[in-house]
Amino acid sequence: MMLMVSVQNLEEAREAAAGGAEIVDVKNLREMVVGSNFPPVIREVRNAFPKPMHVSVTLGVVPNQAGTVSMAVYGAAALGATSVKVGFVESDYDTALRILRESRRALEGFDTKLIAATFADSHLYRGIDPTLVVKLAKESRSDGMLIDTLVKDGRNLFDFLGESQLKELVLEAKEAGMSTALSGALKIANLHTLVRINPDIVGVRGAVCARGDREGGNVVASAVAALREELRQRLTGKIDVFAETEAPAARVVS
Amino acid sequence: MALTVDGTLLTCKGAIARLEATFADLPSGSLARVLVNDVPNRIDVRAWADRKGHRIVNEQRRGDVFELLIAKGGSRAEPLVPGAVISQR
Repeated sequence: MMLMVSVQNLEEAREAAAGGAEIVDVKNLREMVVGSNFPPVIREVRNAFPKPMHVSVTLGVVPNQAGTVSMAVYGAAALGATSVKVGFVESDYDTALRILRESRRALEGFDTKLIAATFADSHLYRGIDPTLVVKLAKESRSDGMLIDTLVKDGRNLFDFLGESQLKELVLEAKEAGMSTALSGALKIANLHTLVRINPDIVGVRGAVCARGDREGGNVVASAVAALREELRQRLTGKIDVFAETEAPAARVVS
Repeated sequence: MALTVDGTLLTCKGAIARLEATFADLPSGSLARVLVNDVPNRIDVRAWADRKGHRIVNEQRRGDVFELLIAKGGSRAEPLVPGAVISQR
């Protein structure tokens, strides 16, 4: 499981990488909480962390304009992004699919991965059903899927979608050959559940910021390292995340 | 010689996504070896094989790495260790 840390600038990207994040996700919190950052910022981060370091670019909540979005996707690829995330809120399925298909076409010739994103709380914004993300990703030939949240009022991903529902979506996407990512105000307290769901990528910001403040605080390397270690202990079984659930079919005899 | 899917590599696409791609091109009865280095992926791979009608024919632990030998569905291979309790090396 890879740890993805959302950053707003190069300084935060350095902190995230120093703490052990495998992916730095460049975004702009001032544009609808999960918006796009500016090309010079993305270029600066990419230049500081050449491939194979993963530098992802979020386009956040995109407008219902396939041309505009596919141009932004092309821009992310031209800047050398490892992946670009296209998220939908006030959209309908057919429009979102068209936008993703045009985004797919825009990435021809690049190795940048296309990630379809929905928001678990999108019903608060009259948005698209978040559970459609796997269908959207499959039908648009996206490389992966992400489920995130928009509200930053103390609620998080698990206030809107349950463990079993998320597990099914993640498995379905994996079986379709996609990468899977979950995000949305996640905390250390959620790591047990996250490890049981087992997405390929877990995304955080507030949990690794000073004072836990995703907007007022900056990413801190020591907090990233602490979260990385908590995650490692659960992945290796040193902390048993399955203890509180039904026993898995086979347990290791050690 | 079984194909190997190395799920210990830290990549965006995990073991199951790569197993799906590998098994799609294999005839029934073919063997694939998958390596994973964490508990949730081991459990997921076992559940995946069960759901897809494939069979775990052997499982070993080498240090921190779990090695599962999987026969594609339709094979006559039998589990080497009934109950799939695994040994640790």
